[in-house]
Amino acid sequence: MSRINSTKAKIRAARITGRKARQTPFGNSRPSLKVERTMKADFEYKRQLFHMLFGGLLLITALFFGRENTMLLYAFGVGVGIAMLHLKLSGSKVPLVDDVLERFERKSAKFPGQGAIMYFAGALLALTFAPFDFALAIIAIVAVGDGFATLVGMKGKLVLSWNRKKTWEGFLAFMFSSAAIASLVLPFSTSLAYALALAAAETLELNSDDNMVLPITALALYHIIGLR
Amino acid sequence: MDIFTEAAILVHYQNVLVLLALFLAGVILFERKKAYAQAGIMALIISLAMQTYFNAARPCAELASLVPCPTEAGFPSVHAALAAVFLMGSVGSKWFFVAAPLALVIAYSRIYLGVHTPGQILAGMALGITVYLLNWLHMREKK
Repeated sequence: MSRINSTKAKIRAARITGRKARQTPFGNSRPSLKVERTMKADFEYKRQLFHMLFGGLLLITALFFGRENTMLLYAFGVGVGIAMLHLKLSGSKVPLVDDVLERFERKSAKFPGQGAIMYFAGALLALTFAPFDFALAIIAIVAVGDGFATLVGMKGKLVLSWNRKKTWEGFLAFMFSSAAIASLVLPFSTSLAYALALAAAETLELNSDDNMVLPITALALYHIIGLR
Repeated sequence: MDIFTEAAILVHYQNVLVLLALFLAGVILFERKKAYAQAGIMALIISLAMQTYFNAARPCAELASLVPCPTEAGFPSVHAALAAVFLMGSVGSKWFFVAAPLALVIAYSRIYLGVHTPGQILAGMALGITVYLLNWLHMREKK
C-alpha cells in the first residue's frame, strides 16, 4: 500500500475510523499532532456554532413567550437535562442524546450534558433574578460573546498574561460582540460595561463552566455593585 | 381535609424537622455526599441572605392562604432551594425516582398553601440547582 502523506487525507482517515483514530488505513498509529490539532479546531468551531444557535433559540423563545412562560419552559429544559443526566450516569444509552453529546460535548466535561444543563440553568437563573431586559442581555452575551471569544481566540497570537490559554483577540472579540448584542436591549454604555466585566470574568481560570460563571457574574454586578 | 393538604401543612409547621430529615437522608443515601452536604448548607445560607436582601412579599400578605402567613420575606423559597439540592443529589443513584417527585411535591406544596408564588419557587429551585452543580464541579476538580 502506498503511503499517503497529505494532512487532509490523514484527517479524512482519522474521521472515518473514529475520534481517537488508534488505527488508520495506514497502520496502527495515532494521527500526528497537526492532524489532532486540526480535528480539535474543527470540533470547537462546530461546537461554538451550535452553542450560538442554541443561545439564539433560547432568546427567540424568550422574546416570543414572554418572561413567565419562558421561565417555565427553561425549567422544563433543566428538568429534561437532569433526567437525561440521571439516565447517563445510571449507564443507560439514550440514542439521540448520545449522538449530540458525541458531536458537541467536550471530553473535559465533568458529567454528561454539562454544557446544555449549565446553559439552561444559567438562563433560568438570569430570568428569575434579573429584570427581563437584563436577563435577555445576559443570555445573549453567553450565546454570542462566549462563542465569538472561542472562534476568534483560537486563531489569536497574543496570549493573556494571567491566563496563557486565552488570547487578547478572543478577549476583544467577546467584549465587542457582547456589547453589540446586549445594546439591542440595554443602553450602550451599560452594555459596554457588562461586556468588559464579563469578558474579564471569562478569562479567569475558575475551574467552572462559563455558561454559569457569566450569568452569576452579571447578576452580582447588577445586584451587588448596582451596575444598571 | 385531603392527604396532600395535611402533608403540606405538616411540612409547613415542621419545616425545620422535615428539611433536616431530608438533608440527613441525602447525606446517608446519596453518592456525592460531600458535594451534597456542602451544597445544602450553601443553598440554605444564600437563600436566607437573598430573602433578606430582596425583601419581597409573599402572596399571602395580600391573598388568603391555607396556613398563617410567615413573616419572613419570600424570594427565593428556601424550601424550593433545599428540595432542588435534594433532587440533584439523587441524580445517578437508585433513589432518584423517589427523591425527584418528593422534591417537586415539597416545592409545589408551598404554592398550594399560598405562601409562595411560582416565580419564588422557580427562583429557589434555580438557586439550589446552581449551587449543587457548582459544588459538584468543584468537588470533581479536587479529585
